[in-house]
Amino acid sequence: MRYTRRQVIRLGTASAAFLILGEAQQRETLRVGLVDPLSGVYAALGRSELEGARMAVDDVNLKGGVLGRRLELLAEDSAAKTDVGVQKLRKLVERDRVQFTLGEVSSGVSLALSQAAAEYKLTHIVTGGHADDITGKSCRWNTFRIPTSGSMEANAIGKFLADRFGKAWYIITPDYAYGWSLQEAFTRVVERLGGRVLGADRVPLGTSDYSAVLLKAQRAKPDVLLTFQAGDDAVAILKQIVQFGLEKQMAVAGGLQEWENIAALPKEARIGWWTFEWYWLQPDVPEVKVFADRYRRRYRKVPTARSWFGYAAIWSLALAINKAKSLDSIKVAQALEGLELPRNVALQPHRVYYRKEDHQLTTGVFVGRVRQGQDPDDLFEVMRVVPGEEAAPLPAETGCRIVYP
Amino acid sequence: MELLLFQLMNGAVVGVFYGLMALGLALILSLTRVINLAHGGFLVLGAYLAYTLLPHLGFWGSLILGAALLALLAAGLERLVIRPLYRRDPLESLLLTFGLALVLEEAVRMIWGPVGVPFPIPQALGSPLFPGTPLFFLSKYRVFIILVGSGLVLLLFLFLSRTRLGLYIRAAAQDNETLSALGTNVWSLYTLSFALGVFLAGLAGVLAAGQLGLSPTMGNSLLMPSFVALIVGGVGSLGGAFLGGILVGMVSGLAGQFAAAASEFSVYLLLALVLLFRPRGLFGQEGFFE
Repeated sequence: MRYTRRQVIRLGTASAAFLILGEAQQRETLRVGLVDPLSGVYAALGRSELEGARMAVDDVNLKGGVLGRRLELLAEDSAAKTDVGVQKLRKLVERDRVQFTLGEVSSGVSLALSQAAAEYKLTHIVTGGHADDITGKSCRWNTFRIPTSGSMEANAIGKFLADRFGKAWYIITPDYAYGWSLQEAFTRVVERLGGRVLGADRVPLGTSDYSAVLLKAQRAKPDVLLTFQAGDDAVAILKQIVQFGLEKQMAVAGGLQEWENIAALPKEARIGWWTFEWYWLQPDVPEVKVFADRYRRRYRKVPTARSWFGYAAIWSLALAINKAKSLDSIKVAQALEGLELPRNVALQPHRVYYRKEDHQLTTGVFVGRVRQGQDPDDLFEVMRVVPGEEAAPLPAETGCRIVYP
Repeated sequence: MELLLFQLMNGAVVGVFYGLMALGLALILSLTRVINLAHGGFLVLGAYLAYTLLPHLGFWGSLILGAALLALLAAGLERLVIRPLYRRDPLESLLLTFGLALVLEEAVRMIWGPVGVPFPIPQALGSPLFPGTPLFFLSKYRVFIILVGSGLVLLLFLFLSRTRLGLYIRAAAQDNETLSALGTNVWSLYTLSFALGVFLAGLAGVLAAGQLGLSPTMGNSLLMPSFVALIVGGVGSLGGAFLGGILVGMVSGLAGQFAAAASEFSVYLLLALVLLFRPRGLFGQEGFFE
């Protein structure tokens, strides 16, 4: 291809103008970095979080931005790997100059991101990790968590399962921070209720065949079979449970089921008693319908708990910055403590705020049953929304101590 | 004791699957000397193709046609991008297939979305053969997988040992230069064996989707055990690859009984032990790929 001189000049001027304008915009916007798995086994979840966050950014900007500046979201792919995630966070901070960080789906990576952000003295919001430690032993001044902890899940559904099905449980859990955390939490709950765990198997992440452990579980004859597998693993184990006919011999249950997993299952495998962390159909909360309708128009699918995490994360930051009237991370963190989310952000029936003592959001736990509803996207029947205040362990029991630098 | 026996049987069932994958890998490797890291990606793509055909052709039609379409695509890719690398360092084709695996995964994600899709199996296959008994793990679907898997292996061996084309393929694997000098078009044999190997991956993908669910990343967890099966069985031996798959399934099943957390690790332990005592694998050929 050849250019005439005139074209070269025109191109040159245009790109110069573009650069100058870009520079001006850069000075004005406030950059926020999101690290989330956009590839790998958790890609579906990570992308939902990103979609929710993008929608919130547009909403915040429509309402005038933060401190008069536009928000700009930069997203990086961690592939749910700790080293990659931390590297991406460093890149976002050092090269892209983001002022706050968010992320991510995996508990292990979330813990690492929290630490890396603390090194830069930046406020970080965990958008998806559930290990107790994030707002427990490993809590940090800069880190706030939106999703529930494993203990909150266990406390919310444990008594329901024990009353309805029995107190002999069997646990199959993924072999890393998240799975261990849930195993411990559910074991604690059933023992407190006078029951016991007949057996527990920790299976490596990314295992595709669960027949070996299901064989063991069937022999133990529990009342309830709990599985905490996530992502692709959750789909695989549920399919196999149904093909083995185990759901007819014991109740299948667990914490933290995801809409994304159930949607990937054929109809006969959409079974079990679970907790969701948020659900798009809440007839009693009108704000949820507005949100879900807007989301559906924008992305042509329903919002999931993950979408809401992303949405709430951006809004939490924006609200806290406006409250603190500062971009200083320490001031913003202090503003987040005790911050209550307004109903059009909380999008659930009960009061939702960040606890001062451990930085855990008191988000509700949706206990219910997976089934096909009238709407093809309605896969979960919510039986009760347990308020986060009730489900969360007392701040004194979390082992968290917040120390500011 | 009884339970251990069950775990062994169960492991063999899972192993058929790895065997099928390893067989495809071995077929490609023995002729073209390409270590196909994109095998998992092909597996996923084959399953998604079948998923798309499912409403039109039903389970059986899409099982065959999905894999066949995939094989065609693989033949095209082989001619376009893999063939130029045959005369170069094997490392280059390794890099190429590694990249291809990434491209395939992302392509699937772009076309069918990041959220997995439900892949139903025929209702007749959806239940255990002996429900409520300790043999519940012999679901009809898994018996079906065993039948299809071993049937395919049998067909493949008959093809290689009894047909003229099979004879050419075996000859090319042994000495492609002489065969070429005798006037045979060796290149088309390469394309054929690559497509055939990928065809097996496609079938494995559809079979797996019925059991594991279908998502862009489902190939990842199946690829590594299949490579282990290939090496354990012995590079260069097709039968060895299949048996290696069954062995891998049994070992990880047994490990699952005692320490589920070690089920992944146990496979690599098997690999290390086999290589220690039989560096060429159980049925490996001397001088092949060395």
